[in-house]
Amino acid sequence: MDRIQEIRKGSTPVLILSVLADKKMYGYQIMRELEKRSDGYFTMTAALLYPTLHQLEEQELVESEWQGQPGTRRRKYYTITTKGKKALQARRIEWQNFLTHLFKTLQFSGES
Amino acid sequence: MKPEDYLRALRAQLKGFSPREQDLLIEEISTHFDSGEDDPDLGTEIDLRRQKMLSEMGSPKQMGKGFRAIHRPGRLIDYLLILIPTLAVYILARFFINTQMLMEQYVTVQIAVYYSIFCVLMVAISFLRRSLYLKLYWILILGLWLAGLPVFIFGDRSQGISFYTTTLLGSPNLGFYLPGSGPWAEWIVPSLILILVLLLFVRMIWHVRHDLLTVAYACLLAFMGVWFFYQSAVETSVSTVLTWFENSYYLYAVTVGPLSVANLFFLSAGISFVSLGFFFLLDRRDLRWLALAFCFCAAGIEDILSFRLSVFWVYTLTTEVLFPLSIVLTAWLLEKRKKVQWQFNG
Repeated sequence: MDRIQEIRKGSTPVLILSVLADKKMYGYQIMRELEKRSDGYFTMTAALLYPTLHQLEEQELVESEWQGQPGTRRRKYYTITTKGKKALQARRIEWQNFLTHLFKTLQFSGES
Repeated sequence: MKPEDYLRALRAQLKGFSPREQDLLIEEISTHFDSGEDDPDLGTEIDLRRQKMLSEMGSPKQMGKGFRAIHRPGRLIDYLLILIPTLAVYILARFFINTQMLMEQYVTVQIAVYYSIFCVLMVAISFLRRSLYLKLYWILILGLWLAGLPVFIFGDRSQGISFYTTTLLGSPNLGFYLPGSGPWAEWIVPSLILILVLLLFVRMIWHVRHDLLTVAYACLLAFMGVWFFYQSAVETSVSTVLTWFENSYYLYAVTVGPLSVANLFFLSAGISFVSLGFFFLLDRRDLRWLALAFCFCAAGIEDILSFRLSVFWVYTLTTEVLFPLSIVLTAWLLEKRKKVQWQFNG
């Protein structure tokens, strides 16, 4: 179970990028959208989400923008960058390869 | 726990961040709470929504740790990136430098081993690490080296060495210069480079001007660097390349620690080094201020003890102890009394 958790945690950046590929969102929206798309399987704490978003921003895979006036209620929206789209594509292929080989191996093990 | 308690606890985890950075991070998390409270999918009552939100937050400690890992990479590595190259130069120098050797060899070894390799490399690494402390330090060292470079290229070393830098810095002492090398090599280029370094410093610390500890560190580095460059120029006993270099080493020993073979075993150099370590590694801000003061005054205090029978001690006390102390003390008091108006750009 711990290993599955580790894999889930490791997949957080690619999951966030995939959600942002469709439209710009703020943190809370990203959290809910991930839950919705995965039927509640991928849930993450804000303590994981926000540092990951900041890390993606540091890596220039996403960019952020505050919307609203300072002092009033405003939100920080994240948008995927061109570099982020390329990274997402590359990671999708990586995950696809990983899963294909994982299932193939598991299936083989089950048959023998 | 209420959202306000969570935000307060989170702010406590962000102590190493500037007030501006803290405000922005807190605002972002605060809007997360607001969004949850407005979300009907989380429940019909606000208390229920809040509870659900808090259960999804994770601990403030975990969040703070996450932010620190991204925005504040460990200062230990920064410190090691000053300590290790410095010690490496010392160790290498012990292998190569022999004071009985010809001066030319001495100079060549230094250029090859230290300045041309370590210095440029360290500036590059500083930029890669995006560490302001590291950048300030290595840019200063590189700047000082570049400022002295024309003298090595054009200077007639057999005649002794000094700079016209003194002219720029206000001293009328023009008697010690390199015959035949001309003003460009002796003071125009060095002075321009030093000015460039200072301007670069201003530009680099402008964005963190609210963080007086960093500003004080930058000011002390810049002052010590330029001051000792100047001092090496006006020091009338400086008559050879060798002694000029020794004076340069002295500069480094004062600013960070034992770069000089001669200074390595001196107590002040050790104190400077250890203090710099405390400055980099401690979390408690008051102790970091104290460490900064120690780091930049240790060599001066030792000099006063050495010069206690000479008239130089007053001069040394003023420039190498009182002045650095006054910078640290003023900045610390400003921070304590919160007289600084934080200027945020929104």
